[in-house]
Amino acid sequence: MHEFSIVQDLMELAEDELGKIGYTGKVNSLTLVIGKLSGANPDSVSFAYDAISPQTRLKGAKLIIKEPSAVCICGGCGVNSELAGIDYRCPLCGSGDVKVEGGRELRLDSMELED
Amino acid sequence: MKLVVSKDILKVNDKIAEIIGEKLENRGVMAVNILGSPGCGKTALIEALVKNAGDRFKFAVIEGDLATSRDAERIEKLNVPAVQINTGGGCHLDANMVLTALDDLDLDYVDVLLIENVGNLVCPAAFKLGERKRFAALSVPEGDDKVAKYPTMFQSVDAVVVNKIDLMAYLDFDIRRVENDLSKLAPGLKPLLVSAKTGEGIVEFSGLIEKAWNEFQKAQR
Ligand SMILES: Nc1nc2c(ncn2[C@@H]2O[C@H](COP(=O)(O)OP(=O)(O)OP(=O)(O)O)[C@@H](O)[C@H]2O)c(=O)[nH]1
Ligand SMILES: [Mg+2]
Ligand SMILES: [Zn+2]
Repeated sequence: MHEFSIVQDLMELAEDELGKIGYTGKVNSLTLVIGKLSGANPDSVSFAYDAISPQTRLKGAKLIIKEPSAVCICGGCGVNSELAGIDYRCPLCGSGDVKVEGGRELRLDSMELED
Repeated sequence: MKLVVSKDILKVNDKIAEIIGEKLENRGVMAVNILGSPGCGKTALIEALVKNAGDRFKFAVIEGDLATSRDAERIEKLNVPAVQINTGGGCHLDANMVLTALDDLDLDYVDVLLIENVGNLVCPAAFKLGERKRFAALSVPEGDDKVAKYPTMFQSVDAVVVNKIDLMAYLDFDIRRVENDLSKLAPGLKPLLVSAKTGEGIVEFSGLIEKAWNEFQKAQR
């Protein structure tokens, strides 16, 4: 999809946050959360990051991506389970009465600063 | 040193979407975001809807396309106010574009704002536009496997309309596959079969808007 604009937004957010604390030093890494249902592809985000970041304040910072799965909370049997693939029914009892939680994250979690 | 941020990346868009949502709510306007692939009949469905339910609701339409104002011109022919957004190369509408487009509409004369997104089964799903409801349109010539192949989009919607059912006889389109995939992806969501060309199912399609409108009215009180 629009991974390049995601990375541009990410750069802006990161620079804003660094500005807020007045940090001008080196950033060692950024930890990004890309949920399995977010629609963003981690490989494409990495690719876009490698292309864009060298021209920015985040030059040289490593990108770490966490990919949480969605959890399906079943109204039938009450069990919480990890969603597998695109089947949103309860993997245990097959019930369609489920609530899906998480998996849609597209978030900058943290940055590791050199000092 | 670890700097904890914990902020959403598309938060700028979501923030603007919230502003739009509040603005529309204050003016008693219900927005519906209409998603689907290029040529699935989004504009044709809007035309059919406006013809069918134009006496009950004051409609306005925001049209999203990469280029041309052809879709907005089609809507204006029906005496419905329409604003065309051209995204240039952009593959989706974002909230900022919609917020700007709202300036060209007199919201006092609008009940239902239909937002036709850029034809695309992928990106528009990630961008909230301040809508109350999201409808996906899928058409028979696209094939019966699209729900399974583009799960993120179909998982994010409140209703799925299968258009061009007048072509069913000419194509190998198995509606049961769509129903089956939807039942896994979005349990409880049943596709509505329509033809913008013959008018079949358009009364039911209007019914979806009516139902959403009634819910919206209740929530407003
Ligand atoms: N046979 C048939 N053709 C249809 C139907 N609905 C739309 N079409 C045709 O499909 C083509 C595309 O329709 P549009 O309404 O322009 O589709 P759209 O989704 O708005 O297209 P974009 O805005 O370009 O993404 C046109 O030639 C329509 O006449 C239908 O129910 N049956
Ligand atoms: Mg159109
Ligand atoms: Zn269960």
